[in-house]
Amino acid sequence: MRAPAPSRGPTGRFAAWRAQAAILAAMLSLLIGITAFLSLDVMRRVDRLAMAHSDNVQWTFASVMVELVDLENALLAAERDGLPLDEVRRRFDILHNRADIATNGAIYAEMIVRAGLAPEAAQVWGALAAAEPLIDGPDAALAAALPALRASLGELRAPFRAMALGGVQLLAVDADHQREKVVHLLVRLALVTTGLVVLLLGSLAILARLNRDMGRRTRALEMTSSRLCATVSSAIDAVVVADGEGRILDFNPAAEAIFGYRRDEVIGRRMDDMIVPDHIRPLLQAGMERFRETGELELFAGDRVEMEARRKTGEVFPAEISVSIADSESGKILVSFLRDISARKAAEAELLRARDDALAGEKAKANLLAVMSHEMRTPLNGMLGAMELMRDTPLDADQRNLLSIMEPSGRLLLHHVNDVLDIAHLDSGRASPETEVFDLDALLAETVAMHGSLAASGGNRLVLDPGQGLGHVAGDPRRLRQILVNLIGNALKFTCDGTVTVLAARPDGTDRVSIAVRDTGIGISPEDRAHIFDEFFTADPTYGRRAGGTGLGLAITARLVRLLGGEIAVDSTPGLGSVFTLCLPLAPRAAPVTLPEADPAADSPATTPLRILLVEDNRVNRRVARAMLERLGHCVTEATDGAEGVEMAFATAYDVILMDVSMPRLDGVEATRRIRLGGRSRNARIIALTAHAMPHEIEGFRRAGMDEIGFKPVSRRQLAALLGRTAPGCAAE
Amino acid sequence: MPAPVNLCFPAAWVALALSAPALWADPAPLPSPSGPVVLTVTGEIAVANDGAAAVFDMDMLRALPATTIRTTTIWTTGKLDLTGVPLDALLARLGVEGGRLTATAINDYAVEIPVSDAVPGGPIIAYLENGAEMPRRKRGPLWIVYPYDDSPAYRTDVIYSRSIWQLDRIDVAR
Repeated sequence: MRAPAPSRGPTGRFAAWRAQAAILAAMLSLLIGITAFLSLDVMRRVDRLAMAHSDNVQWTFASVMVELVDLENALLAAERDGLPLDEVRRRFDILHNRADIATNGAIYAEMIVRAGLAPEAAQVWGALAAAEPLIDGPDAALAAALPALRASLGELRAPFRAMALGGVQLLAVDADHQREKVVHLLVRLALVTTGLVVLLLGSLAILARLNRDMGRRTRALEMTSSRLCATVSSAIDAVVVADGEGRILDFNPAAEAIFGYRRDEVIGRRMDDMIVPDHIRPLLQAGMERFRETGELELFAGDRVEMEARRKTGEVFPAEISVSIADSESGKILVSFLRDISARKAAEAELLRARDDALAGEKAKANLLAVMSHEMRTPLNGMLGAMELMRDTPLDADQRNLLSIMEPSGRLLLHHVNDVLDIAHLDSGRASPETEVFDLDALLAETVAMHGSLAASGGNRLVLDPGQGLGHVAGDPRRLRQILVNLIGNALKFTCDGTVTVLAARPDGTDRVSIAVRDTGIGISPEDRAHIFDEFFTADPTYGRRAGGTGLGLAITARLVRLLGGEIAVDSTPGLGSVFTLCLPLAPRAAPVTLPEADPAADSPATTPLRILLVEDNRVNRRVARAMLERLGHCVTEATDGAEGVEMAFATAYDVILMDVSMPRLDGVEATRRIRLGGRSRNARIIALTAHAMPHEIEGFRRAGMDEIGFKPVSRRQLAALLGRTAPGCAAE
Repeated sequence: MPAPVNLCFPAAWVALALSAPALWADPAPLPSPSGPVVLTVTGEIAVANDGAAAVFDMDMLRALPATTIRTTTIWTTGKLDLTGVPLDALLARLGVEGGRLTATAINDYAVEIPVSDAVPGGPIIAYLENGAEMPRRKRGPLWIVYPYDDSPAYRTDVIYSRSIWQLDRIDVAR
């Protein structure tokens, strides 16, 4: 455990307690040692007291005196009354024995030396030794020596008395000594007793402390337990506790509410049977099997798992489950927290549906816009064509003036419509870049030249700086042209009496080309720069309106650049000008061999009149086209739809068939295929006329048998170019 | 006074009944001493050879089982080999099973010894010290000794007082 230093915490208290316990234990063992030592010592001493090492010394010395007197009496009695000498001899032996003990015994010999009584002892033994031959001798000699014997033995009273007194004195000293020993012993005994009492008190203190700690811990445990219990029972999530076999051990009130079971209905039952839906059961059983083997719960690895659970009613509902493993007395148990997330799931689904609806609405709007634009284009084409034709009719000055107002307005409208369609197309994801080899220098020059008159009208200079010359490249020339037109047009729009410069360069050794369009116009504020490529963005609404434009130009440009795999950036200083820089992948290529192409005279009537079948469902378009073709000197037959066109082409040989693509009954592509199958016009040159064909569509047109593709709105010049390549009479073959 | 007499009668009978097995256990009569009598046993004994007393000369004692104790004593210096009749063997020979002995020396020193002291490995009535008979001048001829070195229980004042030398009489009392 890494607990911080303060000893207030439970860990600190525990450590302190442990240190105290260690000190106490050391003291106790020391005390036990001392007490044991003292006890042993006391026992040893008590043992020694229990054994007697001394004889009754006073008795022995007193006895010697008595025995001496008895002997003297016996001697006197024998001497005076002639009593048998055996009594004398017996008394002598008794005295002798007693003297022997009193002087030679282990204790007495030492005492005599200590008391300095050796001379007295020697005197005793001298007298006894002198008497012995007489005692052991014949009766007559003994009888004769009785008085002398009595006298000599009587002298022994003094040494015996001295010995007795010395003995008594020594004994007194010894007794004192002994008493002292007893006192010492008692002191030791008191010490031992004190030690024991201290030990007892120490043990008692430890026990009391342990008891208190235990009580505290028990209370803490009880509190934790009751807190846990309260937590589980008041939890919002269902808590289901199960053993390793999947049998439910506990089921909280939230679980009762979620599953619809009462606690007593599920306790002891298997989770599989009660709360697990049928389709999850095999999964759970396999998971539990692995859990019993490995102790790991792979099924619920990670924090939370979304799964399904089953209510008492059999209803299966989505649930978020988190499972943890805990230890219990009977092995590992699983504690599962389960949350009913059906409401959340429903909300999520609702949100998803709302988002889808919104996206669908957005798409529908875009579609509407595209369809509207598309549908607007056909009548516009008619108007523009009609105006073009009108110009060739005799008109007075007012009428001509009105026409010159109508024509640019119509073209601007067409431009807007095309912008919208471009955006829709580019956003559809169906657009893909084409790759062909083209002359980049020529494309730049053409595009710049195209804007010459527009520049001049704004008092601007338009300059092309192509650098060292870029030559032929591989790329999408149509879209590159569109990008340049947009950028140059944009630059000219916001520049007045200034210069617009187009720069192009290839960084050394790369497959990319940088093109910059720089103007000295009003510039763009930093805030506006962030939105400059957004659709329908015009920096200054009033100015924008004045300059004209949908605000789609730069949005389309940005999309086109992205489509071509390039990047576009803008830098600007308000009041000084802007520079748009693009970087496009345009790998250098060798120039293809081109055949010199005859430039047909655009406006002059055709040298050779052609028999032309015009297949077009729109009456206005038909009339415009017919008028243009007839001006070019051609002979025109009309068909109002594909079916009619096929019929007429079968019957008559035409040089050229101008085929509208989108027609009712039979469209242009199918009509072309049928015409090519047989009939008199099967070899005719078929030119498709389409408003907005995609490259892949063009591929389809060619496969169906179309030779050329012309784009609406058709102009007389375009028609002349398309028809110029056709030799008359070829269809007649 | 008739009452005590009346009381004494049954008591005597009980005593007689209790001592009966001992009487029957060892009926072998004691021979008569041929040498000077060294020990006279009187009192409650089952076997006698001199009126009510059992008298022993040295040969009779030697004929009884003998054992040797090797021990130090507080009255002598160094270890002694003391050989004699185990007290329990002597009492068994005399059919004594309990009670008290009053042992008396030639100088009339007397001491009481409970018969319970007479156990195998316990006290003996020694008649040889280091293989030699003990003269009267040196604790002889008979000396009751305990194996003092064998046990602290034999090194007490009471036991020392019971170690009577120059023994010549034992009176057995119930």
